[in-house]
Amino acid sequence: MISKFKKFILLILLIAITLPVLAQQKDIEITLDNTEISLGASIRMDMVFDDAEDMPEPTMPEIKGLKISYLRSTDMISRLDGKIRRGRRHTYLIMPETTGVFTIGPFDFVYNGTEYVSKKIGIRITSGLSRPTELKPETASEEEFRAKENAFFIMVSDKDRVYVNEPFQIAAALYYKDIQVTDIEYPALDHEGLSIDEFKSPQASRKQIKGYDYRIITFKNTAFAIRPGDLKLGPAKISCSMYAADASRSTGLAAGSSQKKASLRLESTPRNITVLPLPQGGKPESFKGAVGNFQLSLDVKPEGYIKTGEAITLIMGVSGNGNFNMVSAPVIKENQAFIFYNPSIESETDSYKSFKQIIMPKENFIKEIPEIEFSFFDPIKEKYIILKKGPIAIQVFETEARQASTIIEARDKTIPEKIEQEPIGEGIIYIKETAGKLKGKGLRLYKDKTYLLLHLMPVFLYISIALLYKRHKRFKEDIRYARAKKAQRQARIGLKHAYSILSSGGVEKFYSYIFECIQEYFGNKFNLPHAGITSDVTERVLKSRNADPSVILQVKKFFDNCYLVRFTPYGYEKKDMLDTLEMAKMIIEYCRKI
Amino acid sequence: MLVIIMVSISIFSVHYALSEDIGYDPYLKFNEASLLYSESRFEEALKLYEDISGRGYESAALYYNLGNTYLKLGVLGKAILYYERALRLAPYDSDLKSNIRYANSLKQQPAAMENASLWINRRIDAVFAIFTVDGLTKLLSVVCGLVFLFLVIAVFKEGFAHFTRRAVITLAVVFMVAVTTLSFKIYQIEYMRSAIVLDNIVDARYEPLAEAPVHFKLYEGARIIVLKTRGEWSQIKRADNKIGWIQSSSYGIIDIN
Repeated sequence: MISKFKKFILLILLIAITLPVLAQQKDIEITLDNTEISLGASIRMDMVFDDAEDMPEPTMPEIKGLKISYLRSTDMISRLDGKIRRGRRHTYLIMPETTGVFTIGPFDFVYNGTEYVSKKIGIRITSGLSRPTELKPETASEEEFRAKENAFFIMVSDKDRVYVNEPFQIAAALYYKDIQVTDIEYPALDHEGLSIDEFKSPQASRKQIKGYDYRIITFKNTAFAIRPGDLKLGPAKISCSMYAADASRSTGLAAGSSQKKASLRLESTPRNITVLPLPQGGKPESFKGAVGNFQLSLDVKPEGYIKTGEAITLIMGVSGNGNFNMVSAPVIKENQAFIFYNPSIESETDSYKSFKQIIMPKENFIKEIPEIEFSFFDPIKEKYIILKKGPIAIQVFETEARQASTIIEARDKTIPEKIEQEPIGEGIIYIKETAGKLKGKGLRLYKDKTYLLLHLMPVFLYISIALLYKRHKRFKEDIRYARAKKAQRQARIGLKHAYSILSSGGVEKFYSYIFECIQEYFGNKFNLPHAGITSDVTERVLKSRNADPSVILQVKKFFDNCYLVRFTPYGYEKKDMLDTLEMAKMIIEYCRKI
Repeated sequence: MLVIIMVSISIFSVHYALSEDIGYDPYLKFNEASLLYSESRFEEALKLYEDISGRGYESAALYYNLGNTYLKLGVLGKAILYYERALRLAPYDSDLKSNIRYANSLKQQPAAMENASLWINRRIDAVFAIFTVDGLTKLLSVVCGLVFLFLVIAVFKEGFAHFTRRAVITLAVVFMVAVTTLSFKIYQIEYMRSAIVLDNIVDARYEPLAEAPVHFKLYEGARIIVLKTRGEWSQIKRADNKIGWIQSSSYGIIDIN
């Protein structure tokens, strides 16, 4: 229990001692305008100390490889979240003396009992060119000549005497001080007789010129001349927006923040470039305009069996320094035993370009892949250089099925080494041995009207089947409908039969049959029992259907005649029977309509 | 209904057969050409294959063999043209796809230029490329036949009405997809006029004039779309949508109407 109490007291004491120390520690706000620069450029470092308005210049520790110079100190007042923040800004200039990665900080300063601590920041110093002064010594004099100007633009090249197609560097740099510059556009450049790439992304740096602190924005590019003569490069022009302090609106504390925007257009002085023609003497046949210093490499695929008619891929690489725009595929010596396809560019960088060339052996007796040759003009040695690779030896040997060849690495042609590997290669699959269905060109089913019309058939068929099925179903389910339909058909048959009886001369038989026929017709037509059809029944039915009274009389007369003949079948001639038959026809025809 | 369709197709086959040359057996000539090819007599084989094609016959195998023969003779543009024509008739042929891939690898045109169209367009093209125009037309006929069949079943067997409705809706969806695909393919054939560059290097110019400035270059085997023709000049579009004018003789149309 006592032990726990002691621990608690110790903890309280520790917190009590630590709290005041923590309370007096503040962060230094440290900013760099660049973290990666080239040797020769500089970095501006700002350190802001809060609540230390009168703080003198802090002494910076030495960092090996970097020279840190004190520039100035300024009061700092700002408003953050409604609170006024006051402090002191100390500005330094960091100039690298060697390349490498350096760590700035952490720094620890004590002022008025307050400990100021900063974080550490890493910077990288590279050896690349970043300023035009490094391209041309006279740039320094131009810089110094224009040193008082708030902004100026200069352009330099690393050579002023070049051969046609020889590449050279161009740098265009915007210098400015005491102003802010934004919306910087890429420079435009007059370059008649010269081919120029697009400008690369700009680099920012700082430099002290005659005591002035200039910011520099440098654009770099590569160019080459396409014709000989004295050519003019430039002037280069650049457009941007600038912010300068507006004296008319400056008041009190806001003096630094009142700025006026204006567009700025600057122009450099042009440069003269003397372009020499390439010498004609000693120009090789394979020369296609490449200027520089190059190396040639050759890679052959596949490295296994090759059959006649299969492809061999040559990857021809050109590396080095020079104008790669003018580097064309190396030349292969003509050989009738091969089919040569046009070479294509396989890959391309600033220092390497490779070409893919497909060749196809036509014959089995081939012993080697022809030599390849690449030539260029070296502007330093001022002479043409020819590079060669190959020929690549091929050993041909018989296999069970056909002759095949194996590619042998040609670096040492004295003892060809046979490479025993699985057959790997590119080629085409053999032809089709059957013609398939040969038909007329361009004949397509969608163009055939008959074929398209055939598609209407299912529609008609479906409609017909549906209607027939519906009718069939009604016949089965609707007796009234079925009898009505049946009445017409049976009456037609009955009348035909009655006529045949009439022709044979049987009076009684005729009247008996036609009576039954009409009786059955009325029964079916009006869905009544046959036997109950009499003159009175028909009269009642027809009246209910609003039939013509004359027809009703005719029906009555027909029934009366038939009854009469049953009892007195004498004195009736064929004409009377025909009249009765016609009357029956008329009755059926009339009833069909109602 | 299926029987009717099959009979109709047979009738058309007979109709086509009747229009063929009397006394000329293209199948025999095809075999002769293939024999010459197998003896590496490519020029003679080519003559026979071209003769068959020149008489108005076509088949995937004929175009495939023409492509192979041209490739053997080092004529890349024609080889790719005939392979593409074969692909229209047999898009599922793996040998053909392999040979096209190989022939394309021989092109001077940077591969990136060929694939300059949008990814979605290439995907749509790939899906539509599975079907042939005739194949789609026959598929539509079969779908129509099946719809008819299900409707007739629905008339006689009322108990199947629910099943029939589902089947007809499914078939209607298939029908719509097939009609859309077919319409796209017909549009490609009739209006888009895809072509292959036959000359080694072709200068595409800003105007249909020999002295007009060169806009861009086209290489043998490159695929283009012919927009319009004016005299000996054609306005074409490259895969990256660059438009220029080239001589009409320097390309071959893939789809023969």
